[in-house]
Amino acid sequence: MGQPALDPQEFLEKLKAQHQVLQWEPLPPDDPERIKESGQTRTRGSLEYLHGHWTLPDDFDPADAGVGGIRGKIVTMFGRLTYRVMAPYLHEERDLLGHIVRVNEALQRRCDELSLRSQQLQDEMLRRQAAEASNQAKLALWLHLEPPSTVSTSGDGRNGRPPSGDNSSKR
Amino acid sequence: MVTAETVDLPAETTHPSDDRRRRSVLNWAAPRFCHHLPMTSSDGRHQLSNRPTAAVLVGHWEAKTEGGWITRQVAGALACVADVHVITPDGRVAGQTVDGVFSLHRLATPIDRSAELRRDLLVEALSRTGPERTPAMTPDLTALMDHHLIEPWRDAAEVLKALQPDLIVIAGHQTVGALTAIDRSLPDTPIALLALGTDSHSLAFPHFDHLFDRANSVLTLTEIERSSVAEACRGESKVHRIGAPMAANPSVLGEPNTWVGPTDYILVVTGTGSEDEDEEADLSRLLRLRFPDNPVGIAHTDSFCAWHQGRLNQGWPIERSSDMARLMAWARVTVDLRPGRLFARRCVESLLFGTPIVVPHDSRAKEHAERGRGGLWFSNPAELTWSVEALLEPATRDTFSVQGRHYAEEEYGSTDRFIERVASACGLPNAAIPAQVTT
Repeated sequence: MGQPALDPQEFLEKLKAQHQVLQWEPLPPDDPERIKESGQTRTRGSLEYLHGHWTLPDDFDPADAGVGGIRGKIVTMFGRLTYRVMAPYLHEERDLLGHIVRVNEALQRRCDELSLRSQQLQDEMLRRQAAEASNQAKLALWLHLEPPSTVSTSGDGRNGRPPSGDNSSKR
Repeated sequence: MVTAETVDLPAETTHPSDDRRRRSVLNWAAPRFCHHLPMTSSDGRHQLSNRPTAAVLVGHWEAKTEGGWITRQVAGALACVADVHVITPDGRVAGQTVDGVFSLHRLATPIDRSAELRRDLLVEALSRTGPERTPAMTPDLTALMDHHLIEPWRDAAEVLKALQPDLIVIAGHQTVGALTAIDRSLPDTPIALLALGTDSHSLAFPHFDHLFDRANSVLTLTEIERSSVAEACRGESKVHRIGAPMAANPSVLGEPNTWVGPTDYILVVTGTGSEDEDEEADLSRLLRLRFPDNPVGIAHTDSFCAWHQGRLNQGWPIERSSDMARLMAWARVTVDLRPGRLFARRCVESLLFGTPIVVPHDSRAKEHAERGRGGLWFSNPAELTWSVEALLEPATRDTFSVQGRHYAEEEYGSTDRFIERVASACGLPNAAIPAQVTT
């Protein structure tokens, strides 16, 4: 053939080794932290318990006395007496508990809205971060390949290379 | 060697060993080239009856695609040693005609392209997403894959019965309908399968196993296709690599393309439109910006763009193969971003002209660059530019040019060897190959 043979595989490996001056790539976006489903379920369960148990009894239930006869009648009488005396306080407390449950419900809704919004913002930021990373990767490639705007007619000292080291534009 | 069919040649048609003269044999569309070939009378009867008969079953009788082109070349090679009857479901009117050296039997039951597309999609989807590499073929799946692909071959059985060929060639390993017709008519006739396998998924797909099992010989074009088929057939003895008959057209060396001139340009073939926003467009843009001092000719499907120092000279799209050959012959390096899926014919032609190639690493053309040592390949834009940059250096370019041309001429540049390989692979007697061919 006249010239020494060239093995393309070896030639390519040599080319890659010559051009591995800087391995740079943009940071990948962080893994988004999603709201944990288990925490959300637990909160929802507590709220449902509040809804089910905030109503206090208005008067004494004779069944609570648990026994019959004279002893039962005495317990029922004292129970009714106690409820009658405590009635205003119990009503106040029931109203208070009702308000607390309603406030908790409203807070829960607001928290859900804020969490959703936060998630949306995070997703938006991630998308933007990915787009920026892609753009930076393109920029890195261009810088690596010496874009045409940096090509001078003499080719001296391009990108810090010695003049003899670059023959990309010489024929 | 001179066969009984060879006629006496005029005195001026000497040089029987001149391979360049023989290359013109493979202009199969024109029946004028071989005096030794059988002439078929207008009513379809054969004037020479002592030659074997070969039937070529092909879904689409065309020359536009690489598969269609090589099918015609194989049929043409067989025509040197046998009477060749081409049977195809194509055509609007059923009947027998003469097409060059072939008797063409059109069944006029054309295969629906959408049925072929559905089959290809199923193969691709099942190969990539199935739990196993080789999915189980259930009757439902078999019926779905063969839907509208068996019926078009129904009348081929009658034609085969009438012809009683000594050999049947099936073009394409997915041509299940052709095998069905053979099984209905001549189940004991030897079969040669021209695989035309463009991807390993399809070659290894179990639905096509019985074509490989039934074939007495399997014809492949490239080494990678041969090894894939050998793996699919679980044996190499009946798998043959036949290459392709190609030649560098010397007339294109007389004058360069007028849009780029004799400027040692980089030729980029995108295979896409100039307005398309795809990877090939990005890569071609990158090349013209990366090498502003080199003329860069970019051949799109809808235009030819010659870039030099930021200026654009735009021309007509390159449609004729001779125009593409002219561009490759005068180029410094050919960058083929979308080479042919079967054997990258364009890249072989570039190597025959001594122009090194740069091709994608996952293409069939990589074999020509790697095994033929005729160029380089890339897997990312940086490697593409480094490869082109390296091949612009005269010493490197010259070495790859010599190596690539030597490979292309050895493996693809001889019509004689192609005919011998085809005849040998099909089990036809090589002695019947004519020694003298005139145009």
